[in-house]
Amino acid sequence: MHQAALLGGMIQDAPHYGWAIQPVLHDWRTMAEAVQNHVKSLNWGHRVQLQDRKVKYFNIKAGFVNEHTVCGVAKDGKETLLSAEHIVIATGGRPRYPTHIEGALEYGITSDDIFWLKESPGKTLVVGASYVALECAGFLTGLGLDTTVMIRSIPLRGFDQQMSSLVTEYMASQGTRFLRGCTPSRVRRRPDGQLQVTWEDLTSGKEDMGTFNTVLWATGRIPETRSLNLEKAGVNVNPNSQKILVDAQETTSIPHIYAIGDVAEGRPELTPTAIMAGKLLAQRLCGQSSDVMDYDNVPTTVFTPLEYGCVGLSEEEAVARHGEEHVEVYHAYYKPLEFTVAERDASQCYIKMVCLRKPPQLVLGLHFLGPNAGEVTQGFALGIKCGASYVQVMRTVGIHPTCAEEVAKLRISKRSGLDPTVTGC
Amino acid sequence: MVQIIKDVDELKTFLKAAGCKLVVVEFSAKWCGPCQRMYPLVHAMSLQYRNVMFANVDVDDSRELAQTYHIKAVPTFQMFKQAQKVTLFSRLKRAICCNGSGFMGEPIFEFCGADAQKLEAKIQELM
Repeated sequence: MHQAALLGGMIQDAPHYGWAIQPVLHDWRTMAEAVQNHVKSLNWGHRVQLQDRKVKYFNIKAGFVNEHTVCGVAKDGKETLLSAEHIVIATGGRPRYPTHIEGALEYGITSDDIFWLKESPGKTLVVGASYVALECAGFLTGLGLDTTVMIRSIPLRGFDQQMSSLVTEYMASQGTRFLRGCTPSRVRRRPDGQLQVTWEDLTSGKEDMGTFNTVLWATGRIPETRSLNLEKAGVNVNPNSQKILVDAQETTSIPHIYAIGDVAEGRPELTPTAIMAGKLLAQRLCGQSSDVMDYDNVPTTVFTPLEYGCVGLSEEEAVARHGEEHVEVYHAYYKPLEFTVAERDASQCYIKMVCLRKPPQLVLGLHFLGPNAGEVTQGFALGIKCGASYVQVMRTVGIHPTCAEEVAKLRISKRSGLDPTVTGC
Repeated sequence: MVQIIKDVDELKTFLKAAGCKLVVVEFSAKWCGPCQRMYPLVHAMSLQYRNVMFANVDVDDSRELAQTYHIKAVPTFQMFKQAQKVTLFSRLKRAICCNGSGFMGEPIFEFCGADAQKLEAKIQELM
């Protein structure tokens, strides 16, 4: 859907490049069907892979009976008991409904639902400041829908905050409305079918109201541990997060029971990370290796309209860990070539590299805001994993014309106070 | 016309009823674009080639059947035909196979992909 929105933007750019385009409309149904078909084909692919590797697949919902046995129920009600020497829990998480808000459950939807809507969500209120909230609000805006984001405190908690505010700044410039420092109190359905949301402005203490076709909750996720009967197996969870406590080997409080992915405490909630942890766990269980998952320097990208890719520490984390005097931050604003002819505003296209000040200046974190951030960050993540220094990055010749080459051209430090903005028109 | 086959028993019945005729079974899925494109073409072929039997299996509705025939991608076309030459040996063999619980019906040909021309050429060759 992000791609669908980006294409909308490119269609708008096209006339600058000589394409004669008539006003183009977007049809939600066509896009939704394509997305749904793709997801179904992925599910099929997974089943085929399990079959190929002779993995027995039980389509049942199970919980623990004791530490070596689970009991599962199929759709038809049939019960199955399974016991195993090793058990791996990878049940992930689900979006959390803010049930303390009146009407939240009855009238709101979550990210689980947005891809399965048959009709366009229309005028939408997205509640939350996570990447889920911002990505959804981003593509809804890009598709031409009236979109508002309600944020209680800060955007993208856990991410570099300077980058996060540039992300929301870009979204605002594209037409996404932001209600900062607000929290919803109730949702009601009007006789005409629209949803009326009442919220409180936390700074002024005043109440306000708005009308929307759709309310999307993106206020956090909860681990799928409730129906597992973990107590029967003796598996401990963090009482606050309800996530399963694990050690560096992904082992739970019970030696032969393991947990990976979003259901485990203290892990980045990222699919590729869970997949790799799972593969390494499997190798250890088969005695093929003793390698343990490295959760440091995991790259990721937020697919907001202007994408934000990062790997390593945020500036604030680096400063907290090493002290400001020991950290050097190189930064630059740049203008993607594709923005020039199309006369697009590139004010938020920005790169920041956080390094140790001591030579050779080990790179602690890289932050890239711009088009194709995922593709750009993936390559540099390898360098950082190998312990790249600022000197090595500077010795890497850039590929021209790309946005990625701007990383290798970073020269201005924050400490110097020099202007990092683009020179030239 | 294209017969919808739901499970192993229905396929067995269908193959038996086909006798010596060529049977074309398409394994498809509703979410598969190329499958959607093939539907009208296969339907047209079923009307054109009257001495060939056509069937369709939806891999999501009939998971077990798709698994039994090791379907990895969609669309997959499998073609079946019983031995045309009837000898004492083949008659005996058929009697044993059909009376036993073992499943008969190995495809004599299989290919994946929405290639209507390839399908038609093979039908003409085998029918």
